[in-house]
Amino acid sequence: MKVRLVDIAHARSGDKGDTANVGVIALEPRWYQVLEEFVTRNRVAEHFRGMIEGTVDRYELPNLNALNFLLHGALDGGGTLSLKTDAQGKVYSTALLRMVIDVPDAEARRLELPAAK
Amino acid sequence: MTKHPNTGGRVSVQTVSEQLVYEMGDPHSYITPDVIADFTTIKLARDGDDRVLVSGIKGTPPTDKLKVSVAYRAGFKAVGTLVYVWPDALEKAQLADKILRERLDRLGLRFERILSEFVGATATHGHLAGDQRNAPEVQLRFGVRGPDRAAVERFTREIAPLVLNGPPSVTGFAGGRPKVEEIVAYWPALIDKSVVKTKVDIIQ
Repeated sequence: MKVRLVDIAHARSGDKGDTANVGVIALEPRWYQVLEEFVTRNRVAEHFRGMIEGTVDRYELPNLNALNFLLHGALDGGGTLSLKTDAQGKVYSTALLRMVIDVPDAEARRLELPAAK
Repeated sequence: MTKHPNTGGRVSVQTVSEQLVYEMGDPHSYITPDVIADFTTIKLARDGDDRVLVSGIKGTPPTDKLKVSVAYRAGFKAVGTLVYVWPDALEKAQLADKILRERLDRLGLRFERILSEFVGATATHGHLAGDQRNAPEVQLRFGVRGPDRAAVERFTREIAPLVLNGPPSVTGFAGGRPKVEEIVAYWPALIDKSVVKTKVDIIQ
C-alpha cells in the first residue's frame, strides 16, 4: 500500500551552516517503526536528488518517535551567503512529507495506516 | 514544560518534540557550553492540558572548547524579481532567466554565484512539487553574489529592460531596481575555554 508521509508524520526543519536538518515525527507512536524501516538514508538522498549537493545522514530517536536527517550542501552556502528563498531550510520539512513509501499490505492493515490519496 | 493560561498556542508532546528536533545535529551529542546532552534519552509525557513532563535526560561533561561566532565581510549580493503570468507562466519565467544569464555573460560580468528560482513553481520543493506548467503566476527570483560591488550594481540595471524586451505578460517590477547588499557572513569557530576569562559587571 502506498502511504504518504504527510498522513503519518509531522516534521520540523532548520539550518546549521550549509546543512539543513529535518526532524520527522510519527503522528502515532506505533507508526514510528514504519518511518524507521522505510524512510532510509538512501531513500531520502534519492528524494532530494538534484536539490542538495552533499550527502544525507540519519539519526534515530525512538524515544521521540522521530528520525533526524541532515541534508548537507542544501542551502547554497547557508546563512547570509545564500541566495535561496529558503536560505534557512525551513521548508525542507514539508518537502520530506511529500514522500510516498510502499508498505506491505498486511503491515499497513495491522498498523491502520492511511492510504495515499 | 507549560505556559501561562489564556495565552494561545499549545504545549503538547507533539509541539515539544518538534522543538527538540529543531536545528538538531547528532542527537547523541548535543554540545552546549555546560554539558553534552544525549537527546535520545529524553522522555516526554502528557501531564495535563498544555503541560508536558520532560524527564530522564542524560549527558556527559562538556568539551574543553567554547564556540566563537565570527562575522566577516564576504562580498556583495543583489536579488531581483519579476512575475510572469498565465498562460505559460513558468516557461516565460524560464526564458527570461535564460535571456538574463546571456545578457550578463555578454556584458562580461562575472559572479561567484548566480541563482535563479521560480517562486510559485519549484523554488522551495524543486521537482517534488510536480508539473507546474499550468501555474497562474510564477515569480522569477534572480540573485547574484560576488566580491566586485560594481558588477553587482551593473546587474541591478538589467531587470527593467526585460520588462520591455523579454517575454510578455510580466508584472511586479514597481519596486524599482534591486538593492545591493554587503554580505556579513558567519564563521562558527572553537576556542580553548582556558584562554577565556569570564567576568560579570553589575551596573546599578
